Amino acid sequence: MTIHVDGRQVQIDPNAKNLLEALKEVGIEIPNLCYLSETSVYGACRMCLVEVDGQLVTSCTTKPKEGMRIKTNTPQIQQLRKGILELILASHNRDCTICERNGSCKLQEYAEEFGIRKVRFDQLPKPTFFDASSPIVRDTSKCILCGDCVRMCEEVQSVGAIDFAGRGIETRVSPAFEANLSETECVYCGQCVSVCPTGALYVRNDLEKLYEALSSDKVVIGMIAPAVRVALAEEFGIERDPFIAERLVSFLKLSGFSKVFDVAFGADLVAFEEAHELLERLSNNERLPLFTSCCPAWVKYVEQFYPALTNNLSSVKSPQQALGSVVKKVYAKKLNLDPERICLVSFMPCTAKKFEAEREEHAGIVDLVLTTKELSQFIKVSRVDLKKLEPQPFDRPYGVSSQGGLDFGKSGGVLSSVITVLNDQVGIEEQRSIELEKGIRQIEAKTKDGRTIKGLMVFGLANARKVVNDILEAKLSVEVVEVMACNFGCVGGGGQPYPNDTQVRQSRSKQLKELVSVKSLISPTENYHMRKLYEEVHDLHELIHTTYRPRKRIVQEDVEVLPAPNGEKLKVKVCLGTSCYLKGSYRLLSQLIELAKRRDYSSVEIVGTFCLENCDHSPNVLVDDKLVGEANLEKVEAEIERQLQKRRVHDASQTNV
Amino acid sequence: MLKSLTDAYRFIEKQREIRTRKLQSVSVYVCVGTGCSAKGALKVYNKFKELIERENLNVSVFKMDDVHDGILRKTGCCGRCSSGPLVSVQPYGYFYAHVGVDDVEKIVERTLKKGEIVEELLMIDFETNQRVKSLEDTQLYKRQNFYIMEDIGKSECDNIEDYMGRGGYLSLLKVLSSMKPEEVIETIKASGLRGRGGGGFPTGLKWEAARKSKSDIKFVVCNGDEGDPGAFMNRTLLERDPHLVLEGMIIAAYAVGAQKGYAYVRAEYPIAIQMFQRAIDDAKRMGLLGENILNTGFSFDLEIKEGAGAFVCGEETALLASIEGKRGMPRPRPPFPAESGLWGYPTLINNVETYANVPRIIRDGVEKYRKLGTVNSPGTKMFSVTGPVKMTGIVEVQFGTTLRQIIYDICGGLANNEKIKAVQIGGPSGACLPPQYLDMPLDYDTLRSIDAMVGSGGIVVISEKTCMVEVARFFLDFTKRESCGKCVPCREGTAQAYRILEKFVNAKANEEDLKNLEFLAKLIKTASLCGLGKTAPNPILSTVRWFRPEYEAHLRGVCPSGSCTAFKKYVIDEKLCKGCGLCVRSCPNGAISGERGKPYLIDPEKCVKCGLCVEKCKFKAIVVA
Repeated sequence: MTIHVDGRQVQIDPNAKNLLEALKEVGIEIPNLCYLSETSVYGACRMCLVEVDGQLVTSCTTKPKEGMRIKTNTPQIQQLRKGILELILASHNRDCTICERNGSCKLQEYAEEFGIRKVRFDQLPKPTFFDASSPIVRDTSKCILCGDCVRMCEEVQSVGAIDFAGRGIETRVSPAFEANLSETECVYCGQCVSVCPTGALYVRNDLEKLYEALSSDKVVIGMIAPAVRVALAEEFGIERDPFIAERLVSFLKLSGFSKVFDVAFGADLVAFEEAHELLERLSNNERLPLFTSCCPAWVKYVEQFYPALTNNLSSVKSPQQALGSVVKKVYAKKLNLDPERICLVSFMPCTAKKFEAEREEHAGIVDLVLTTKELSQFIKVSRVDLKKLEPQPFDRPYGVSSQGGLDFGKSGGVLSSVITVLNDQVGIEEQRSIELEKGIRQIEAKTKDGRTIKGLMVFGLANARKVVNDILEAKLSVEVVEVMACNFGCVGGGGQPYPNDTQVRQSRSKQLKELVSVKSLISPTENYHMRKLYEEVHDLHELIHTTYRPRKRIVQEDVEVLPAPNGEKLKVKVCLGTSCYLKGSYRLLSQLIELAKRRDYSSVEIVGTFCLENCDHSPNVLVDDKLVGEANLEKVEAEIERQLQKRRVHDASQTNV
Repeated sequence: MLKSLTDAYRFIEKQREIRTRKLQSVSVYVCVGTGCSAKGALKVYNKFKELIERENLNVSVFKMDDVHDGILRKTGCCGRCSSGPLVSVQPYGYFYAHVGVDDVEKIVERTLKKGEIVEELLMIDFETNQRVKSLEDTQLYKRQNFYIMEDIGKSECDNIEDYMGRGGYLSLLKVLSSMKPEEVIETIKASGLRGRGGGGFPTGLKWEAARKSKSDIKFVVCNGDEGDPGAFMNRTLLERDPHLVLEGMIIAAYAVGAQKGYAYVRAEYPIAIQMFQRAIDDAKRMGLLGENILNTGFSFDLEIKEGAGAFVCGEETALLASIEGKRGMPRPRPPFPAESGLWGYPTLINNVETYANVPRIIRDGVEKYRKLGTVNSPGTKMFSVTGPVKMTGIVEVQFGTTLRQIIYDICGGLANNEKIKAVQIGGPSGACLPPQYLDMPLDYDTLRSIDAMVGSGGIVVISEKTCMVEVARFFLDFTKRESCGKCVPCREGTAQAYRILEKFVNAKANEEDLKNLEFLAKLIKTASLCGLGKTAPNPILSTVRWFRPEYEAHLRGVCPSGSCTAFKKYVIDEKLCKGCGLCVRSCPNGAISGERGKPYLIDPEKCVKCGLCVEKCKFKAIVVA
């Protein structure tokens, strides 16, 4: 397709999504603050205005047409763009020098390019919200309302934890009811952070805690995830350095780390264990398809949106937690060290890993999770030139890993490794893989005993939702599903440095592939140190498996309705959410109060709660831990009686003893 | 339930007969539109009900089959809201204004029982200052072109039979029995009907685009989210003749091939919603809406979606998002709703008044329709007139009528003989026109030629006592708050422009501010995403263009109209002041000091310009400079 741009005649791709992308291909990068190629077009910042056949239009919303006459650089356009920038700056918190995004901010970059030295308009006071309740920090004073995070969360991740609230100048991005992120369905994948053009969303910085640990008498042990190395290389201009991980080991050792292990070892362990889990489930024909559980964002996603499927998640811990458990329980014993004296620090490409380490069931395992960005800062502030450091190998015994283990850093890596192990166990004759659509790859492996194992490798949680729904509706039949929440897998994690766009992620995947391909061990089965672990530790299985639980998406306090006066209480929670309310939960609540008074229940406490996530079967009542769906007075009464009876029996037996 | 077209024709014929006979007997029509209701019309209605029952007056009334009996009826807005509550008594045509509950007895005793006029309740014609017997006798009535608003004061707003008795639904029958969808579209195209919501886009073209979009599912949407301050044409229409709008929508659905419709009506219009819902229910009951309408194979269903309380939801893409249950935010067009609207399906969206025109066009034919209005803007337009005019309310005139005719000949000119300084037309996104345009014939194109627009049809008359900078500030205050917050120019720009205007009225602006204001206005207009933003600076652009000296005067410390408080100076005239000290006690900020018996003094630093002292002073010694 031929178009005329600023007096030039240029050829563009006729399939280009819009003028913005078409013009980029011919070397004109139109400024924009709200365009994301992965999401729907938003058209809000108006920076990408161009003149098409004499009319001003936004290039992100305009489809190229044959013979279009486009002007991208007229005085009018530049004046408008500058005006728009000034308007944004006038209500922006301009403390750039102390901003998380100082140096990587798109707004700052444009302000510099346009040479803005004075903002013509008054600084507008805006209501600001600051939320540091979770690994993802929100600071609305830096927000320019481009909506990238909202679309990312909704369209790519299908989470929808944040959206716009308020009107006009009071518009802000917020979770529902102005809640903190820690009280919402946010899965902490950090993809909002990776697309935020300013410092409105950033990863909680925990570096201070590292300094604290290093200055204490604790033994500081580090471990590095596969995807960290390739992204870190970008930060120091040493892409394709085959020794990046080993230089990093040197640096950490210089900084006071006693040992540095490779999370890829943990990955070998996980792949090996998961392959066996799969074989077991296949032979018992239960809890299929198996969902991988390495990605903590995906795990939380299942717990919240598919609580009925938590059993499908592999019970194997993630590589971080598996290796962490081994270090704290096995290695500490070996060194004759109190685990309390170890500070275990993991370096991750991921924001959700911070959350994972903080989960109740993982307490005391990984003490500190730092993202690639924090690690990069840790190195930069030391002023040590990373590329001049002598490489140094990871420490034994958890420094050895196979190709499979290292491959965990990108989409498809987990399932490939599991299949490699399967090959060692049952023999794979033939293997085929096709991309069903972007982010969903199907893999088929024929075993020697004639079985076909079908699997899916999925990235992006919206893709995962699609896949799970298709499985639930029996449109898809597979035995195993690998999900990584972030596009292209962990290489695109929310904790990776900027830019973190598709192009960069693809290049990281490629580099990781190269690092993987030069590894001498192919399969996790070949990992001698891992095999030895199995021989030495008898309760290894217990050590590296975990449990999951259904989770409410919105954390809200219950409303006390009828408190019980004394002792052991039997809690009866009546859902008063919209769906249950519409189906009469309010009436049920009053009936229950009547009942409690009539029957003189002294130990029954009635509370109102919000959403038990079972709206299809409204109204819902929770009696102790037992969920009564499609509840009515008879059903609830029966359940209360049953529970009370159980308690009476229990009490009686206690007295007898 | 009507089962076939023949059935329906017969039924309508019968209703016409009934209605003719009904109007020949004594009956009372109480206007229950929002304006009259706010002034107590429902109390008046109930009083009538009580007395009519007490006096057993219903008995004497004509009855036939299962027809609505009784002599008391509810009618929709008559347009003269400033004179409400309004009551008309047929067959005499008496039109009573400002009717209170206490007046009802008089009307019952004298008019209903004896057929006499209650002279003191008649409306006063502002020209002759005489009381007139009926609305038709007034100049303000005669000079209008009632076309969409028919049978004022003698049509029922909550009765489908009455609508059919006026020939209602005959256009639908005509379309269903003898016209192909393409023919309907051709007719609408030929009529030259243009969108009444503001844009003035040719309606027929919109219909054609929706018709041509290939899809099994299509929607028809009625935009009744009239959000302009001072505009209430759509509300009036939905309240007084809901079936007219409904009939237009059903015809539109037939023409474009839609099966489902939504009427998006402001939640702040409870009476309009109530009336329209009743119309929908009645039409369904009659078999004019729903599955297989009149056995023609054509099905169409409709529901009301109450507005989400945001001005921007009047913008069509935001409105559609709101119906879908999303936050009402506009999206870039194309694709236009006719290609991809509700849930991605082709959707025809028109304004209430546009739909109301459709049955008339079908009924009267293109030629007759085009006799009204101008070549490029055929038909009539309803305007709501507010401001210091003698008669505020709804007027309906043909396009080509001038502002002078509307303001002076129909609405009686300004009260207190004030002079017009400007006319604001087209709502908060409209322009403020100076008096030299009073004689310009109003239509879409003439207004556009001077950067103004018909908009939805709100006319705000502004007198010489009003400061034009303050007018701009007032409208920007509205648009800045109603901006959805999506695009930068509108969200940030309107807030900044408002801030600058605030500086002007607070006597804090400088040359630079005027320059920035003009720059901003242009930026917002050219760069905003949707119609709200693109038109939001119009009050600024038009006032700066036509009333620039007022802005410049504010920079020199003068508000020419004398209305901006910040420019006022309160001084005590030494010669007149008797030193009584009353003013000292009235001052809330302790700004006045002095010695008893001697002239007092106002400290300008402390004075908050509230004017309380002026009211208190018995000697008129305190003057405003």
